[in-house]
Amino acid sequence: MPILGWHPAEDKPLMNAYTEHDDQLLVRLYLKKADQAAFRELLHRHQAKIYSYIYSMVGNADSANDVFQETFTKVITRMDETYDEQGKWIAWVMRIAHNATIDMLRKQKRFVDVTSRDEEDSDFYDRLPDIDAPSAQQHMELDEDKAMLMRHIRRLPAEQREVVMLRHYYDLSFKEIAELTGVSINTALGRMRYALINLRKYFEQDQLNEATSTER
Amino acid sequence: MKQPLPNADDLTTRYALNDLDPAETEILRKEMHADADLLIEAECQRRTWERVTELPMLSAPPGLLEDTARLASTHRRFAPLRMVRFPMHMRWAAAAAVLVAAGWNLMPRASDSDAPASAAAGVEVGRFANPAPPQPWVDRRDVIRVGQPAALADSAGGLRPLNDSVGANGAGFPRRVQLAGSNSTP
Repeated sequence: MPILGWHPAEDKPLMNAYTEHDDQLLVRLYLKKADQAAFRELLHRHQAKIYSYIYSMVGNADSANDVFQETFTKVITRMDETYDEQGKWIAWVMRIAHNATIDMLRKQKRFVDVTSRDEEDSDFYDRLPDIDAPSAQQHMELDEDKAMLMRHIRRLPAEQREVVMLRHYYDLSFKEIAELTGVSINTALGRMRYALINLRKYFEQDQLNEATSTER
Repeated sequence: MKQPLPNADDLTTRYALNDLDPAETEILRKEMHADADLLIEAECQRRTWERVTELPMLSAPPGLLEDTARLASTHRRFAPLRMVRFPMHMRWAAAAAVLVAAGWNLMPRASDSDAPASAAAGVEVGRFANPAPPQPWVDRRDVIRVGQPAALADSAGGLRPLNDSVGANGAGFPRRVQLAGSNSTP
């Protein structure tokens, strides 16, 4: 999968020394020795999947940036107290990101307005801020299919979208998804099934529209 | 008539996501071989999921990442470094050791038993360590007092007759002297 935008490792060759370390060691270096490079490596390693998940759930760059910032502010300030070093650091971060995302979705639901409806219909990549704007080469890679796919994902009910994105970006098992979302494994599986059925309908609709426009 | 697979929906979805173990895959394959609808359903879901996996990975804006890294740096600089966390049983053991040590220090020891209480409490120990030899003194009723009877002889040796006289008529008589603690009457 192409990765858009900035990568700290590309800009900071110093981090190469840390790429071999596992997350647990990097966390320990950061917490006990205040090693900033260790934290940068952790951020570099996981930021894309965290940001992608948040973005795919909230659907616009401003909200995604807010949730991302809130997530990492909590991560940084609470790591001393609430992170148990025995557990996986990324699982702990993902839980924080997920909760922050759900909070944002609730807020968005409370303040639904005409603008958000307009945004839903606009192009996925049009909503990226200038700083995110992919290069011309990347633009070529980002074909219409992917933009369309993202639009369809956005059309899914939030609980179905959540299961699909947790599986795709975080590669969670259904047991983990069920635990994170507070439902049974069967419910999580059912949501995934309905999400796939809905997406299939959307894809078929696309094909139908394409065929109709070709005939004209 | 053949019974339909009870959890076919779940198995189909998990098959589409490549989440089945080999035994489950075998069961579903056999079922799909016998049921064309199930086969179509499973394949459709698999293809749909394949398209979902084409979703791109998006990177956070560089400014946001830089801000996050800066926040992490600032926070760690001002936060105390993480202390080693001891398990609860070790914390209890440490607390008990402190209490026992404190109790030991407060307990009077055999060597301290003769010392005055104030010395045990550490109050002006120097004053009592080498007490000055008893000196006779005169109290408010003009009685000479001597601290210890054994020192009476020394104290009496130091006495001298008083020359002053007391009397209303001027014909004085010597003031009576009484030695406190003496065995004999003067």
